[in-house]
Amino acid sequence: MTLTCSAVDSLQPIADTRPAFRLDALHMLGACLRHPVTRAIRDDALRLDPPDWPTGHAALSRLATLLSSTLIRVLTERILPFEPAPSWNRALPALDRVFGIGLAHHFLHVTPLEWLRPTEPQVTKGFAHFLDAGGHTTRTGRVRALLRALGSDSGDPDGGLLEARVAPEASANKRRRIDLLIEWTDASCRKRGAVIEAKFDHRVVPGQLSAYRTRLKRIERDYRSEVPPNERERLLLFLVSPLRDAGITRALRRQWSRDWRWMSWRSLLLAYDRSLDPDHDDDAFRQFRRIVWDRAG
Amino acid sequence: MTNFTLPESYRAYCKDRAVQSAVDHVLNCGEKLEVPADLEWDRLPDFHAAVLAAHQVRCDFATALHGLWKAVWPPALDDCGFADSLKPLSLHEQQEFLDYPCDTYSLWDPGFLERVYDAGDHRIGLGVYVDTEQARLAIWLLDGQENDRTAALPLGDDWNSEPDDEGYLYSRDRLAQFSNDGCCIPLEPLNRAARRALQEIGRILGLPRQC
Repeated sequence: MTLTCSAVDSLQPIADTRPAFRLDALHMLGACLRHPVTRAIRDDALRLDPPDWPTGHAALSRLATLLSSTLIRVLTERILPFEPAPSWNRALPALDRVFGIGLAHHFLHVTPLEWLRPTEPQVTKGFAHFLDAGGHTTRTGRVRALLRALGSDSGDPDGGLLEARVAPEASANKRRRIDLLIEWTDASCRKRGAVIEAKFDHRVVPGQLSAYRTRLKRIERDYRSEVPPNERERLLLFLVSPLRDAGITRALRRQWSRDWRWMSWRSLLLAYDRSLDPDHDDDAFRQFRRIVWDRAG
Repeated sequence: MTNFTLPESYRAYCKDRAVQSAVDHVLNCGEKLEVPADLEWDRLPDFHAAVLAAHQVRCDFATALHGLWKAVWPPALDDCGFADSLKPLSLHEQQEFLDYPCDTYSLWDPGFLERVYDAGDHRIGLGVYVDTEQARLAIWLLDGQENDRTAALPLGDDWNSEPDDEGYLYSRDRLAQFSNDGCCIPLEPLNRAARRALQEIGRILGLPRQC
């Protein structure tokens, strides 16, 4: 299927006014398509005459003509609402708004350490170290940012978070350990908590998620009994992994994974940097987040 | 032309680590790319624009590689008078011969474009390579029995003395670095290196020169 020369010429004004959209390149690609039917139609050499499809050639030819003429009409009459490709001046702000790279403290500005590939326990221990670091202001600021990134109201400035502590490998029961347990006290001195099960290469083990849920409900016993159901938050149980693969989807469908939510590492990291006050950040923490970002790729 | 101007999108990619990281993320995720979890509905068009921007970087880069190749090798072939004695393989023939495609994706990762020429019973590959700091040329030579003759090419100071593990002989490191503002690649050193390489190959193969 090809456009006639006159039709292509008549497209010139569109190309002139919208130089960023390369219609000619698409035409050229279309003309070069090597699909046998396309080529046969173009060369008028279709030889498809099976017994049960006697008019195949004619039907395809008519379709080709119809498509050609329709395409020419919509292009010449400028019916198609072609939008010019955005200039790079518009592209850059879009990258900024999606990835937050306009923030000076963003970890994406940090040079990657390509030789370093931390293990799962190293990542969770690293997070616990950096979230729990510094004085009260830094610690609560970093934890607030994490809770905000997880979508919790407790991360808001007036969310009532008074004190926080973060523990890696926290005990859920005799046999199970929670990768990252965040505990804090709210404005009414009630204990709250959030659980992050961090995955990179390992699978979810049956029983693991339900045990952590039980532990979190025990921590939040006062909060869950005193606050009316329509005012209290969902349990903050997060399974964080690089990708939502079939294994994770299956695990989250099970009865024992009730209340668990999935988040990708990269989404969590991007959301975290948007939530973090630069005053509560430092170079080492930034480098660590960059390492985790690269590990999660 | 004394400088080759790099596209704005690729300049931003080279200059800004964060842009580079975001673009790499989008391009590497492919179909598994997800909308960041904390993005609101009204930011969704920005997400699509960001995806387009990342692909624009890669497409602009592939186009620029082609432009740089044309700015370096054809003038050198003309200067040396080999425009007729070296016969380029068609795009299709070359992709079959090298078993390596020239599509946008395949050029992006190695940052490399080459074209293959027949020189009598020999074959020559003439390439350009661009990373985030500099441009380099590459060359290889096979004889009629497909023996690699690249190692035997003495191409002078502008070139490495040994081919790499894949048999490509590169122009020397930092021969043509990006300008300080990251906008341009100086063409003079590349043109000079290309001319010298072709002169030497022409002498070794006894190629007829067209005056």
